[in-house]
Amino acid sequence: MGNLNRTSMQNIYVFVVCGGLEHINTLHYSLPFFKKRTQNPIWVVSDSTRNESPVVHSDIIDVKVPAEYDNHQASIWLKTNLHNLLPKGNRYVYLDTDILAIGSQSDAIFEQYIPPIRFAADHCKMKQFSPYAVNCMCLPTHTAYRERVNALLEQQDPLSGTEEIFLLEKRNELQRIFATIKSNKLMVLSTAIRFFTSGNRFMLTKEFYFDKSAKVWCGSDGTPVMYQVDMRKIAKVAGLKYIPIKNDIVGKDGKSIWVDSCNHLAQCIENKFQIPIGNKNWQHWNGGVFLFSDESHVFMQMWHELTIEIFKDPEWKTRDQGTLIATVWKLGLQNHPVLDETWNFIADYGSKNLFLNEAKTAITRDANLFIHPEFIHIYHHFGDEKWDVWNWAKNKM
Amino acid sequence: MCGIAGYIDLAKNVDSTTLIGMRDTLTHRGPDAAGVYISDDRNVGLAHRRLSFIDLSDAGIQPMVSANGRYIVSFNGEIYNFKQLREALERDGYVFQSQTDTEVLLHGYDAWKEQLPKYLKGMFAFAIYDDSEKILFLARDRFGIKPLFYGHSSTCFAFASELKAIFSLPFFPKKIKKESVGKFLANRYVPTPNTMWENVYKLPPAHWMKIKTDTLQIEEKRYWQLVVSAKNERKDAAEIISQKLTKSLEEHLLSDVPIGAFLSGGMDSSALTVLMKQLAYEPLDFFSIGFSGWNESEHEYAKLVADKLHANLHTLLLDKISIETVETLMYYYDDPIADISILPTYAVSGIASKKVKAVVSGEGADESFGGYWWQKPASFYFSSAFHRIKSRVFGKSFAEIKKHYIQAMSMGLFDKEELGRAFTADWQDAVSDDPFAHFDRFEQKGSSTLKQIQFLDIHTFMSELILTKVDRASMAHSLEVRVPFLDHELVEFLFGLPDDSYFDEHIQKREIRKLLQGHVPAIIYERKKQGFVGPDKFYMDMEVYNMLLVGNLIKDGVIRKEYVVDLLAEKDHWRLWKLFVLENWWKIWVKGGESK
Repeated sequence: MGNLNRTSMQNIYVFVVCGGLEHINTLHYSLPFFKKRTQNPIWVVSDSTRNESPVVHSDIIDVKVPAEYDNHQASIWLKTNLHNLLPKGNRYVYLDTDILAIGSQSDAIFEQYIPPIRFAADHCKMKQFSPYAVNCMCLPTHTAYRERVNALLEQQDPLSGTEEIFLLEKRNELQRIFATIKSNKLMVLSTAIRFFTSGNRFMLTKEFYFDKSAKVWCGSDGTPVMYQVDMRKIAKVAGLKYIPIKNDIVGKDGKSIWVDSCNHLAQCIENKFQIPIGNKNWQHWNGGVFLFSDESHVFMQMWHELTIEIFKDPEWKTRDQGTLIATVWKLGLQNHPVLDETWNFIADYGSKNLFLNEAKTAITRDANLFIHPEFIHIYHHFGDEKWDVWNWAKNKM
Repeated sequence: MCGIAGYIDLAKNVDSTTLIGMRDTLTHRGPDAAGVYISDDRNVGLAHRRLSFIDLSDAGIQPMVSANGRYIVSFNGEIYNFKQLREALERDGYVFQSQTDTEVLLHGYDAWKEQLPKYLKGMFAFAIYDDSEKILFLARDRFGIKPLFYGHSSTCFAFASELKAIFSLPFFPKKIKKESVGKFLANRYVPTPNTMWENVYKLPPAHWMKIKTDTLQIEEKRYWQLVVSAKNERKDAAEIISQKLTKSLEEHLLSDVPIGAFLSGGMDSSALTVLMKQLAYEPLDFFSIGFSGWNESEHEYAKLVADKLHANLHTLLLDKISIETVETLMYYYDDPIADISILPTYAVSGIASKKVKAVVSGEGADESFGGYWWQKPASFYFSSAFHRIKSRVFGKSFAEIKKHYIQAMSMGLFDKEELGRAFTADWQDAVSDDPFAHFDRFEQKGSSTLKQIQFLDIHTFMSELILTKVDRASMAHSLEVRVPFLDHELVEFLFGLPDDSYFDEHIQKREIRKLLQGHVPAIIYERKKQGFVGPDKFYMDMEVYNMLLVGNLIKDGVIRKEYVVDLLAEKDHWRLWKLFVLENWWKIWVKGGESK
């Protein structure tokens, strides 16, 4: 009888950390969330010679990263090279340090493996991600446009830069009402009729009214929430163009100044690696959580090699996600199923649509679907106790 | 076992990384080893993922190249008569380097060329490249147990065990075939040779195909046909059936690793387990699925059989449909099917794969022995007494049989009118005049009604739905399922018997019952047949189907929203189930993850 080696495989969580104190502290915060929820081993891969502070953990795999790489590059080098650094014969779940285990079924992630490798989807699509992966001018140009426009906006609507939470919530609620009306032609029509037939005070809802003479949206108690702004005038002063039908301002490239999306990443992938991306706005994968095994070797080796190639290329930012896209398309895995959001719920501080349900049991970025995440991926503001999502995740501990 | 793939590219050289990528989309079919071959002129690439059973050494690694370098094979399946064929080839002077059935294909093709498939006994799909003649030869087994897809453009030809490998090729054109979407809803599968995509096909069972690799000229031919007759003697039928089945099972148990069995607690799987016991096969590991909170759950019957045979029974209880599972399943069922038993089959394959690499299973018994309710004359529906009397006197016409069969197969009928209501104006091309036209290809003039329905079952229901279901669900877990009832000599024998020598309207699968009597509790063969599906309530959860309202089929203007709203209001769960499966398939294969 041959040896059927199907039961000896171990399920193992893997973190990579290298260099900066901030990352090591993040790992030290995240680790107890996992330890509390699993009996599976948790390994940390690191280069101790680079660490600003020792990693406190029982299972550390210490690997010397070539000196030519800075710490950021070193951590990517370790992450994309895990298939060569870890023992064969196991199933691994890689996790970024800013991921917290907050559910009760964490270990079920190992059952989600589909060979040759499995990632989760990112929270944006490829075009939006593009300027964060390559050094095109889209991001700095649009950032400069936005700064100009925001300064003018603040002149017309002094409340636009507010950090007061109550007021921010009111403004967000008002924006949501606007969005709901815009999405329904009948509502647009009926709201317009009501607006033009009303007196000085136009009641939008019970909570909000518009003071036509002062040109300000107010709460029901009369508190100003948002001043009406003249976008056409702002665009003109900023040297940009206003598109009335979209109520949007576009830059000299003809694209909305609020959106940084571009095709440059797809172009860079094609130019550098001769890999055509069939869908320029493909839903790319997020590198924060992924499952891999021996079967992932070809994939990971290619990812690793492509990533090292871009380290010294000034066209590329030091990230592994652009080369992840290149690898996926080169190996024809663009339809390979991604992990459900349960396994990598990306909580981006900058996202306006991110909110908890009333009972604070689930979270959403799309009001149709509330998620009970097992793993939450904290994008920016890790540890920000003014952020309700952070506090919610922290309390799951 | 295994996943095979490959492509011919006349426009540019075959690229090894692209070929490896293509191959590794099939890793689940063969996690044990992998290989690729690229021809010297770089026009042809073959790839293979291996799940190994026989000759676990490196000698079995594929693609396998003949000693003279002329033939290269990539093979998925099992050849049960490979030892006899090897002996014959050795007598003719062929020298073998390994103990594998794969090598028999290499020498066999050299000796017999396109006659090779008809000498093979087993389940298979393979590709052989003849580097001297510049010919790629593809073949698929008689019943379609193992899958084989192919597609072509003006400069490229690609083939694979699963569609995902073909669509991994970045230059391969991908265009949905609207008519196939309609036929999928009508039949729960896309009838062979078509798939959901333009210019991509299934090689029909019992067919081979030759492709000239320098011109992409294609020749396709059927090499075997099931013959319906009543020429076999009935007096020894029972004994011959028993002998043939036992021999088939013996051949199916041949392996260098242990083999288990799916045991539903029904007659067919129980018969196989009884025979395994009689063959003194050890260890006896059986796998069963139950449904919690359901009185009719079969796992209790499976336990009765396992206890009686002193076997190890591994059982999993299911309690609900998981949306996530259906989405995952549609990745594996890239050629989609909407059979409701995909969920339990996937689940039972999961538990089996933790313990063994292969199992035997009872597929094919109902088709061959007449075990389905719709095969019984009493099940026929007639629109009037006149038609009933006419059919008694003159027999049933094929049109009547087809009408009955469509009803039996439908599970939420999508006929031309219903499809017209479901699709939007832009998608009316998806509505064909007769979504069930493929049944006409299997008309057997002069055969009995029972044989005609059995013939339809073998060529459509079983080949398109049952075998596809089992292959993809099991391969998703790197588990091989072997089907001893589908020994073609056994099936040929049964189709050559008079109906009454193996079929009795009042005694369920009489010949299998005989095998069971005295070996398992009588309740196993005396109770009513039950499908491997679980309770209907599993498929009646309207909350699950609500996702259709915000899904891509409506967003992309394929299905009318009002139609879905009506189905939800009417709680029309079978039609909703088909749409739900299509929605999940669409999300992965049309949208490519965009909706995440």
